Amino acid sequence: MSGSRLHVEIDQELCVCSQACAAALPEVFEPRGYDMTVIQPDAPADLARDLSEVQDMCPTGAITVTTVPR
Amino acid sequence: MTVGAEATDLDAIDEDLVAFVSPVGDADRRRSLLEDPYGFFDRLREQAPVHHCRPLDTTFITSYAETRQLWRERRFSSVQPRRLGLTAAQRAWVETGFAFTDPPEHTRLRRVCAAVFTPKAVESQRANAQRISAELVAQMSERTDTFDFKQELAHPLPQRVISDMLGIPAVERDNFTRWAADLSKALETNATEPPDSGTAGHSSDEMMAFFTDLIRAKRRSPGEDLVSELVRLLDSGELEMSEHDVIATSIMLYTGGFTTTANLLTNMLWLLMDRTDVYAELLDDPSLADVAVEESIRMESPARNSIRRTASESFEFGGRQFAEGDVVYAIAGAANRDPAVFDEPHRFDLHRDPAQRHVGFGGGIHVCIGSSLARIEIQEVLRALLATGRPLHRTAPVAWEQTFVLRRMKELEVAWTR
Repeated sequence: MSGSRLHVEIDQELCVCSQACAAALPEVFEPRGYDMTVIQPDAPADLARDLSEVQDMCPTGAITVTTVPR
Repeated sequence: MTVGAEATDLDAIDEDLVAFVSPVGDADRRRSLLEDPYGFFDRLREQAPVHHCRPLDTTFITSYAETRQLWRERRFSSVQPRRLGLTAAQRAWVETGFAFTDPPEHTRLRRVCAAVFTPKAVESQRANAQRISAELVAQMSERTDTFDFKQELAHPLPQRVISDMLGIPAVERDNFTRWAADLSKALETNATEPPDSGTAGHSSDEMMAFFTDLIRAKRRSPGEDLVSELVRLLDSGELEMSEHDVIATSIMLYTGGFTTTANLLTNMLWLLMDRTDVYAELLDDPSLADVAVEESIRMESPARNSIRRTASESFEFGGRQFAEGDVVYAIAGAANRDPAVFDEPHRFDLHRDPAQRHVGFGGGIHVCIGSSLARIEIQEVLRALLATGRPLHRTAPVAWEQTFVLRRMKELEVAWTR
């Protein structure tokens, strides 16, 4: 796990901007204009637990998190 | 009436489902199921979490996992059958309220709504909710007799907040109470008995006319409210939208914005009054108020069932083959008490692990857009109630309304305990 990074993406087709992610992890997600944006698409590995929590909280399942080895 | 040992059998379950959703079934059984449906939901979930009820030709989902999966499944449509018997204009609120649309129309309309109903706009209502709660609770605490909590607080509070937010003058509120009550009947789309389309249609007409005038007024002299914002957005041409969308969005925000919250507030107080130990613990430690709010939404969300979904093609879901046109309901009130997710699901637990997340606001693309406003309002009311230091108690039996989709009571008669 150490040394790897996480890549975070939002599927804009699915996103309804419920704000669940931005409320839980404002350092990663931020509403901009009419859409939700990932402001930190390459997140540190220690956010893995929080991100998987946020993925589960997203009502539409619009968030994907992939592990990127360094 | 068939309750007891043989009720584990699926035929008995089907009989109960018919009684539960339609007035065609056994009236006494229906009343007792509406009163307390949770034992029945447990039996149904244990027997068949995704169950096709033959007599109703409808599938009912009672498990948490499949409920969430259903809401995320794009092959289930939320478009409703045109069976309400309303005229085209009257149907407008049902058919353009984006709860009843699919993408891409849904995406377009929800975007319009999200553009004005922002987290900032919502959070700015906290002080307002606080002030109105304090005012209404102060009025209530003077009472030495029995009174209706719904009438005194649960109804006026969210109505005043959403009226202020949308910029609707106070004088119009009584009309809105009537319109919203008529229209919410049209939600009960699965009932074998068609809703009273005459009344709903008339109210719909009046409401449309009111908003058409309001839009004109806001265009002439805009304010800091959401209807003015919507008009500004419409006139700017920034988003693809019509004047009709402004009306439909306003109606949806208004009616969605207070009837559900009013019912949730009422259901919450009912839960607490029936659990004097929980109520006492809250009075002792008001910092538990936010957890109490979540537990109330979990146990008695006013949106008991999700709105009817229809399969838009043939596919397999939850171990069952669906054909195009097949109808399915997820019973959120059952999913919220699924023991696979919630420890002691029937217990109101002020120390419940927040990882046991309820689905009282629904899920998928139709997840409640007003959940954050509802939370703010309910939290502020509960804090104001707890700040009195006195509990309320129930003075009359509760009569749940004979509704399938909504979980609500007409009134809640209460008095201060000392």
